[in-house]
Amino acid sequence: MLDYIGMMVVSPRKSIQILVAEKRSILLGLAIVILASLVGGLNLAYIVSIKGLGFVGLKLPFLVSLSSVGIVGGYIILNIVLWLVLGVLIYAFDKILGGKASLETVLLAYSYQWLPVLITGLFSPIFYYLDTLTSIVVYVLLLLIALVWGYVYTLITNAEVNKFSLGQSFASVLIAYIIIVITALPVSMVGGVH
Amino acid sequence: MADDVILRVIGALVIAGLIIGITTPIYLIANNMSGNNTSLVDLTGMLTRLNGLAHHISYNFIEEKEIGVNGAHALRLDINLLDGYIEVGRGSVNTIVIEVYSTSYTADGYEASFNVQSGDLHIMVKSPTIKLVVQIPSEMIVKGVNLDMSNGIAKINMAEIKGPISFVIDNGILESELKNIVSNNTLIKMSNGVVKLSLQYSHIDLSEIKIQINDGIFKASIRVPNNTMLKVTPNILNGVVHVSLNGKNITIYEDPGYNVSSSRLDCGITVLNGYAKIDFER
Repeated sequence: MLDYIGMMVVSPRKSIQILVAEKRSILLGLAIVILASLVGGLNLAYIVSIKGLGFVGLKLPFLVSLSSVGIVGGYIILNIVLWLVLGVLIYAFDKILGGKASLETVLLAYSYQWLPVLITGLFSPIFYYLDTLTSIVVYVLLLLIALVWGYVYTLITNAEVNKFSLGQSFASVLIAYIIIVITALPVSMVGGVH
Repeated sequence: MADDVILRVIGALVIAGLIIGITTPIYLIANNMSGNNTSLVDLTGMLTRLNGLAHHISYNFIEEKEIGVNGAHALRLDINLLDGYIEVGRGSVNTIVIEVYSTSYTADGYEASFNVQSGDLHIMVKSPTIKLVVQIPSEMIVKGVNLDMSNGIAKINMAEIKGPISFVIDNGILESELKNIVSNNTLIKMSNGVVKLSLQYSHIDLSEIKIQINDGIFKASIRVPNNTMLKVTPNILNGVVHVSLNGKNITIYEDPGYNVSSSRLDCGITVLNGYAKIDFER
């Protein structure tokens, strides 16, 4: 089990080959996304609900409970939605570029994006010792590192399941990401106006 | 073989990251939300431990102020503590020391206004990272003490108090020792938290102490002069309450001659819930 997980981190290409060969269910990908979201969401909830609300003098028990549950729940849902939407987009662009993988396999390969977040969980205790602003900076920094790291994994695994070159995989994943960013910006701006 | 070991180590790191990443924030959030009402534990131990913690994080200080109040003859102390750590005491060099500790930094985290010539000191503490040291001459008397506290830790040790005392505590930990109190009215109102209090009266004419406890842990030692007649009226709706006079448990109590004495202390105790231990001594 441990060597299996270790292989996913060290050799994503080999491990995705094994996962596809073993016909692993999409639920494995979902589990990775949910567990990583729990790690990210709980740490964000601690920083926002405990440190952040204390920072602005609003650390009321009701607000802390509400914001903690809201942040963790919202974070998990958001990540699952992103996984599904981006997975489908990547799958669509894979197909355009002549990819051979099924949607389920692409989603499984794309779940590698969340794998580094699990490792960043090792840094959770340091938030206790940091003040609010430094905690936010460190959290964002860890998130960015995990994002880039996960992106590299996705390139490799997506290339492997589709029998692509890394260049093709890069194009497919990047276009999907750009579409999401372009779509999300106006939506968030409209939300901000309201 | 070596590769397998490396893979297992990395796999173990991922699992450790998962476990630590989930359990740490849950523990920290739960621990923070549960506040101080987790269990009835030894007060001194809890205070020492938390004070130790506060001192441990004191390296986060970003600002330190020292304010002399020479020229003032009396001081009224108003503290509104929403969070953080505050310590007030008359030190060996005739000082009142106010220290506020917090892990959170905010430039506007505190408001402090000092009108030292008229002897008033108002402190509003939200969640600052600041340390205040207020120097006062030894002959200064304290006109009154008001503490309004929502959370945090407060230690207040003072003497020569010739004015009303008011402690209103929503939550948090308060440890206070007030000596040489001269005839005044005292209000202690707590909704939750932990309070350890020592009141030593040096002279009483007609005074009243009102203690209202909604919940939490309250422990008080009240020392009155020998000639003071005492009236204790507990009103216990729930919770665990021990009231004693010179070590003997009492319930409703009134000294003979209370009504005609010129030195009287009327103590009304209302407990809705929680734990209270109040010891009277003379």
